[in-house]
Amino acid sequence: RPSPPPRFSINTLKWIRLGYGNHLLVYIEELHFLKLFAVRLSLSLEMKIIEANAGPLTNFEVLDFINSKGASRDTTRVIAPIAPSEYKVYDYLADSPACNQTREKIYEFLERSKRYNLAKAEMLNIINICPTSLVEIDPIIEQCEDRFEGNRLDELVQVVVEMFSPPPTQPEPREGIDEDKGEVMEEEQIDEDGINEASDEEAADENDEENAVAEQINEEE
Amino acid sequence: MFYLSLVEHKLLLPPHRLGLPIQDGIKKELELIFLDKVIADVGLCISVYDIRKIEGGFIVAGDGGSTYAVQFRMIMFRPFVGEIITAKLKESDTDGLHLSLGFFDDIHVPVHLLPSPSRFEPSPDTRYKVRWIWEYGDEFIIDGRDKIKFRVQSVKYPPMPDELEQLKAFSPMVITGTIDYDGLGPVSWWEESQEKDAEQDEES
Repeated sequence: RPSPPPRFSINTLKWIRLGYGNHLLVYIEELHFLKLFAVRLSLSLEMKIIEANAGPLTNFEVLDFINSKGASRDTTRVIAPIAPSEYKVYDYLADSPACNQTREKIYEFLERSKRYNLAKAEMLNIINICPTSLVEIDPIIEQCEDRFEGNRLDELVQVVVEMFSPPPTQPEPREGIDEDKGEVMEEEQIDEDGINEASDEEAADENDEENAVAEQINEEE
Repeated sequence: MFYLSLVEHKLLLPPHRLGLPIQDGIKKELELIFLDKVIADVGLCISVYDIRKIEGGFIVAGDGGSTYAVQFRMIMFRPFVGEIITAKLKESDTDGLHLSLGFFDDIHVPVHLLPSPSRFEPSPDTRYKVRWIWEYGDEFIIDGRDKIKFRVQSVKYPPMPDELEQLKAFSPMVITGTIDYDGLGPVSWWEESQEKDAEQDEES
């Protein structure tokens, strides 16, 4: 009887580097067995990349995907069908601006930022990083000075702040609206304070902008 | 940072998985094969996103399980050049900085991509070998307290080495980053300047 083809225990594979042409390079870490070799496809191991780029994903979408498998509900991390490596990605994303985002906010941001003619890469960067100040958005936008004259970059930052700012901390029971805002701002971080104060001045301009955009949309309809 | 990739793979479903509904069994097998592994020029496999097509189910003589041709999509970690990413400081030595995302460790900011002029000195923090300091008027220290923003300069997939010793330290995917730009580097560097800007706005 012919001997069955060799099978390699998956547990001993530290990593696979799968190159083109469907050759499989396998590294096995067992002391008496240290070889590297290229194994030609057999029927049982054959991989083909059909589309390397089937669409970019925002950090939010990946976080949402892992969450939908039950990441946030399972504190033991044993029950949900999520691998330890996936949990590491989850931990990273939960600590990033993505944890405060929603699908609706992202769509709205995309709508509102159309007028700035941003490249896809710039939009992805902005959604993932949430720059809330000029100095944070500077490394993201190419040829800033040419494309954004005057206050336009400030406006874009304002859109980001409005769409993606983290929710304010729990307000105290209301006595007056102004007093409420004061307490919330003190609890937030110092840089948030700076931005909120700046945004009051911009708010008037923003309202004008919004009316203009709304009028444009109405005209189109 | 993340892309979907459409992959086709022929796999053998081992007998102990045949009790599960077929999609689950195949998904588990795919995860076992691909997760946390690097595919050259495609990236690091994060998750199996969905299964598009399952064909086959033949049993080859001598095998205990059936062979399937599966078409599925995977979430891949593959940053693009120019992407801004926030990371933690893992190592700081005379080569530069080594950053980590938790799920991915091989991010290198070499000396020439640190803001200039920078110098290093022995680190008081025993976790790191040296401490890098950017001299720009004040001294700006790079230490492990902060998150560090960097911009992706290149993503390389070095070929596998032949010698065993090199294999132990080998990384199949290496990201080179730069922090030599306004807004990059430790996050705290730029928070202070935001405060100053806000104060100036108030005065004017």
